[in-house]
Amino acid sequence: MTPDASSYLIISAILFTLGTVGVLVRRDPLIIFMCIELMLNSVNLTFVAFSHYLSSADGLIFVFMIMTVAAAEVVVGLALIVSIFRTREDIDVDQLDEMHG
Amino acid sequence: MPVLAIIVFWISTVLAVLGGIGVVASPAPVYSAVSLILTLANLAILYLLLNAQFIAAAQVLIYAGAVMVLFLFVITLLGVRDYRLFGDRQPLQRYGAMLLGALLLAGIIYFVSKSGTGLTGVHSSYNAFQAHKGNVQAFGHELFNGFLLPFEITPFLLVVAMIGAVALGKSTQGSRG
Repeated sequence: MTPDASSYLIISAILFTLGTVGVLVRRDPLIIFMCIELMLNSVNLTFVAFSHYLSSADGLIFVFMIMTVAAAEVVVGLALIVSIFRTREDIDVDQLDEMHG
Repeated sequence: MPVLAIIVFWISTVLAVLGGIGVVASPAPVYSAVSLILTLANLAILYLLLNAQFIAAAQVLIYAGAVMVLFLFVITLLGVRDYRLFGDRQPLQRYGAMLLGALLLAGIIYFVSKSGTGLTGVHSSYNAFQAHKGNVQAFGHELFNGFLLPFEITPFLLVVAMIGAVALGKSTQGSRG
């Protein structure tokens, strides 16, 4: 079967759903963070596919910006996770409830 | 599309989805990270098939290189703990999440298949430029002409993130020592 725009969109949907389920199901903050990266990358695939099939560079620019934001997010998020892990031994996000969230 | 490209498309699709499943279902964070690297590398191959060479290179360099090395570094820094695959406090949440995920996937696939796939080019100037000079040059031309201000603002974002990471690292050390 020759891939077209909708096949890329369906791959992207599958990856996004996997990331969503991972965020909701897993309790390890590092794995939740990786699932967020998976969701970001599935959206990037959508942007690149639309950019190709609409033959416009706007989607590629968006992917470039998303990569920059994701790099910044990873830096801050991992610093937060490391500082949380330093102050407490438990790694279950269900137990991080000091702020009663 | 040549036959070889279709074969490459299906192989990298299957590997990317398997990697995604591995991210969600692996017991240890290290396996999740390696599965995520698999997914990201295969997404880079899909970007190459979509004629986005610069994005594919940036994907390998930034994501599969820098970001995942940072992840693996943090995982090894934090050390091995006891792995609970799913939390044992809310089993209802697990099945509810899987149900909602299946619902989300079905909804997206329904709307994707319902909408037409006849996407055609609307930016003929970019198309002509791409045909004339190649994809990477066309991307650079767009970036430095139409999107110069966002491109100039992104370094500020990176500097703010870097300052934030340094501040977080310093404050925890101060409170401990």
